[in-house]
Formats: sequence, structure tokens, C-alpha cells
Amino acid sequence: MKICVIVKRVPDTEANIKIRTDKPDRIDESEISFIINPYDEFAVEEALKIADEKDGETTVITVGSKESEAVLRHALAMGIENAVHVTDNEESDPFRTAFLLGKVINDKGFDLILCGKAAIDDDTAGVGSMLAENLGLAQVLVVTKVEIAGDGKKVVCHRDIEGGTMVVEAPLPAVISCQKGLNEPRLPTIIDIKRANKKALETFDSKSYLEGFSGPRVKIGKFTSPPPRPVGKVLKGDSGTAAKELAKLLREEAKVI
Amino acid sequence: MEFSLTSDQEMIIKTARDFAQKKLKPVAAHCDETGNINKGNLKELGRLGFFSMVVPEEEGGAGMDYVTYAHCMIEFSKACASTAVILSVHNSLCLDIMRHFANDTHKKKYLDDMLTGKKIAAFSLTEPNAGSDATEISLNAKLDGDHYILNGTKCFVTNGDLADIYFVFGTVNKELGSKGTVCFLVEKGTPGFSIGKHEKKMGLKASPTTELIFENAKVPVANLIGEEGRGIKIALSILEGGRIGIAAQAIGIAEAAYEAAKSYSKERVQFKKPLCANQAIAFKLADMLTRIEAAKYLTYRAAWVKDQGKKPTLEASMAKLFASETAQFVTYEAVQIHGGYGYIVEYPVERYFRDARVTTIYEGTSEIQRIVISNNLLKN
Repeated sequence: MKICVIVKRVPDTEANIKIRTDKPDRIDESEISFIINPYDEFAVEEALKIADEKDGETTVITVGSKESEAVLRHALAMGIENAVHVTDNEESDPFRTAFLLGKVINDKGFDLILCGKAAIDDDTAGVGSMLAENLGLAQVLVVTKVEIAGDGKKVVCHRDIEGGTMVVEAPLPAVISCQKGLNEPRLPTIIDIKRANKKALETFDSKSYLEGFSGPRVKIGKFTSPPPRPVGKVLKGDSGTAAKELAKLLREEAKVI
Repeated sequence: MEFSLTSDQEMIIKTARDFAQKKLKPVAAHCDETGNINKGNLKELGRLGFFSMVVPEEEGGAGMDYVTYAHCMIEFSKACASTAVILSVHNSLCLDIMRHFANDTHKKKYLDDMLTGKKIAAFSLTEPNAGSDATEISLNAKLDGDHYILNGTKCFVTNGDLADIYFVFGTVNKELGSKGTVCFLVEKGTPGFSIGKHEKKMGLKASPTTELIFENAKVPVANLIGEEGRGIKIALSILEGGRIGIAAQAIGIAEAAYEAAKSYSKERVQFKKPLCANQAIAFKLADMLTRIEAAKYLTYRAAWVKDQGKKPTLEASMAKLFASETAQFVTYEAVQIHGGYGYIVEYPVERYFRDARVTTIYEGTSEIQRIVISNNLLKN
């Protein structure tokens, strides 16, 4: 069974995001560290688990700048066998990413393509769906359980829905996007990290795959920071008076009741 | 000295940080309160390779350099200083003895289990009357056929009852002074060898510290490490690695205290403004961070010298001295910035303050470090 995982390099969840003063459509990357998108890490772990059970072969792919190599290395250290880097320096546009991935993946014969449910940076959650459409494959999104069934011909996935679980079946090959709760990603061992850093990557320039690309569908206008949280209000007086005042404020000012 | 890190180094340090923050930090307060280390975490650290950090890959270890080792020890100590000291003793004292002084038979029999952390090791030099002056050790070893018969008591042994393998220093004849000293590898379960009192300590409460009692304990001659008369030499030759480990531990504790104090000073409002808006508090933070950074570079430098295959006697002592004194200063100020809350167990700075205290004492007191440093600078 051939399994492919799509990963993305994103700012660390603890990074303090600042917008560039010269380019309001870009964030200032100078002082932040980057990690593999946490949802993609669930996809990597799931690929490894399935490959372990089904004696599968695993490949990780990313589209992005030269620095994105680090997230491929991370996936290799966790245990993925092959890595493909499509170098691309354009600003993130899910349509472009999905187009490039579709071209690269097209003839590789994967049985299962796993990705995170969304990247935590732009949160568009678009690439998985668009990729499935480009390749003409089934897609099951935001899943919390993946089971290969029917002699490797289909996949059964669980999706958390309001008040219950939805069980979805799809024929393979299919694109699955992974949600928190699916598994607990392993940490790579020191030896595996060193081995991963010595492995050769397959690297392609995005230019060689852009033929037929009709241009980005979206363009980032600008980023703005959320407004600073207003200072809280402390109501004075005895509890009766304060409760009355609170009810009034909730109705008239916050308009929540 | 190289300041930038390779991608191997960065990824290994990140793994240490992730493990420390996700697994060690959430249970550190509980471990401190109950006096029990989390054994599941130790097992996982073994799987990841952190019980064989500085042993070369061709000898079965993780093959890490000392600079990376120092970085990882800082990360572990920042989350749980008790776990860090268990690792430090095992890695930089015991494995160093195994690598440089044990023979092939010892290695074949014990090394694999030590490298995976399946068997944790302890280092036992100190005695009630032999602390900084290790030449005064009196644990008696008497040759009797193919065994040595050991009698005496060792104290303040880190990894006390947690360990399975003990590197124990004694003497065949106290009158010979250091020339009579010996080092043994003693297995748990050796007849006549038992764990004595569990010490109740000020800090590092989750790391067990015990006495070791030898009452006609029979240790096979084959378990003598090196030769008779080389005991103290073995003990002294591995101290630099240990000091780098403790310097890193002190830095980790200090960094945790600094970060707690910084965030508290931004949240706590008095006189209608956050504490950090007062220069008296902001300047404290500036001094804390500056000293932490200075301690780091002394420690990385000592580690780097060791990585070059040189003996970092002076560098390791300066790093250990400065880092451990920095940890006192930083944890003291962190408690001060927290005010009354800093004195309450619920706030982690209370633990950092207690954990930091021993770093100027064990693996050579600050006074001993000053002796090493001044002897070094005056020798020419």
C-alpha cells in the first residue's frame, strides 16, 4: 500500500505574530520559529501506523520555500521513508498548492493521501479538498479515526459531529484530512533524527509543474491584528445591586440576553 | 567556538523541549509533592535515546555532542530538575566511567541496558566524612579469593534506590591515601549490599537520594573498574562532564524561574499598573536574563572544548560556578517579584527556588570550583 502525506511549514503555535510594516499582506518572519503544521503531524502518525499494519510505503510531500525542508526532515525522523520537496516561493494560495500537488502526485499511484484538516497559519482548509478534486478522488475531511477495509479497497472513517459520530466509507484511493484526537504523534528518537538528516530528498522546482495553471484564485489583501482586549469592568456594591447592574449590562451593552 | 546549530542539533534539542514541555512539566509539581519520579517518562526518555546521549553511535549510543547535551539538559531542567539530575548522573558520570575505564567484559554485560535506560546507574563517592575531600573515603574493600568484601556506608547517592548499577568508590587500605582507592561496579541485589536511609531534601524531591550500606558485601573481582589504586583518579577524571551537566541544570531552573517571573510581572497589577512597569522590577528582569545568557555561553564553551577532545577543567568549573550562582540569584529574584505568592507552593517559583539551592553544592561546591579555577590560573 502506498501512502502519501502532505505537510506544511507554519509558525510555531507559541510565536508572537507581527505584521510586516512594509508589506501588510505578509507576516514578519524574522523573529519567529517554524514547525510542522500540528494537524499534518497527525497525518504523518496515521500514515506510519497504517504502513506498519499493512506493510505500506510512505512518502511525504511539501510545497514551499527552501526552509520548508525542515518539516520534511521532521516527518522523515518520525519514520516516513521518502520525501518530495516542491520548491515554491509564492505566497500561500491553496489553489496553486493543490494544482502543484496534483501534478506531482498524479502518476505516483498512491492508495491513500493524508493531510491535516487545515494549516494553523491561514486556516483555509482548502488544499485537501482541491487536491481530491484535481485528482478525481473521494475525500473525507476532518476525521478522528481511519480504518482500511475491504482488502485495501476502501477506507472507513469516523467524523465527530454535533452529539455523535458519523461513519463514512470511501473507495481508495482517497484524500483524508486529519483532526485532533486521531492519534498521538510520536517523538522522533535521536538516532532517527540523525538518519533523517542524511537522507536524500527529491526536489522539484514549481516552475516545471505550472504549465496550465490559470493563476491564483485568491490574493491576500492585508493582515490586521485583532483589537486589544478591552479592560474588564468590576461592578461595585452589594450582590443584589451588582446582579441587577450585570443583567442590565448584559442586555444593553453586551446584547447577549 | 561555533555559535550556530546544525539541523541535527536543532531537531534533537526541539525533541528534548517538546518532551520536557508536554510530558515532564505537567507532572513536575506532583512528582515534587509526592517525592516520586514518573517512571513512564524515564522509560520514554530511554526509548528516545536520552539515556545514552554522549556515547558515540558506534558504541551503541545516541552519539550526541556535549553542546547538544548541554542544550537538552537545559530543556529538561526547565521542566523538571529532578528528572534532569537523574539523566545527568547517568549520562555524564556513569556512562563516562563505562566508556573510559570499564573493560570489554563489563561493557558486554552492562552497557546495552544502560544505554536504553533499562538499567539506571548511580555514582557513589561521598561518605559521611568524605565530601569535598574525596581522598578521605573509608569504605573498606578486602580481597578474599575471587571477591572483594566491602564494608562501610556511602551517603547522598543520587538515583539511590532507582538505580540497578552503582559505581562505588572505596579503599583497600586507607593509609595508602588516594593510592589505595578503588572503583567497583556493584549490582543491585549483591549479597550484603542494601539501600539505607532515604534522605528528605530541600529540593529535587522527586529524585531519590539514599545511603548505600555495605555489610560484608561480596563483589566479584571482575567488577573492579580499572585497577587498585586508581579509584580517585577515575572519579576526578570524569568531573568535567558532570559539571557541564549541572551547569546546564542550573541554567534550566533559572530560565524557568525567569520566565515565570516575567509573565507574572506583566499580569500582576498594583498601584493601577503591571509590576513590570516599575523600573525596580524591570531592571531585575534585565539582570536575570543577562546572567542567564552569560551562564549559557560559559557552559556551551566548556561543552565545545570537551567536543574538541580537550579537557575543559577550567571552563567546566567556571561554567558550573557561574551557572549555579546565577540560579540562586534568579530564583531568589523570581520569588521576590512574585511577592507573597512566590512563597506559596502553588506557584512553581517556590519549587525552582528550592531546586536551585543544591546546584552550588553537589558535583563540587562553589568553593571547590574556585579552588580549581584559581589553581589553574596561578599554575604558570
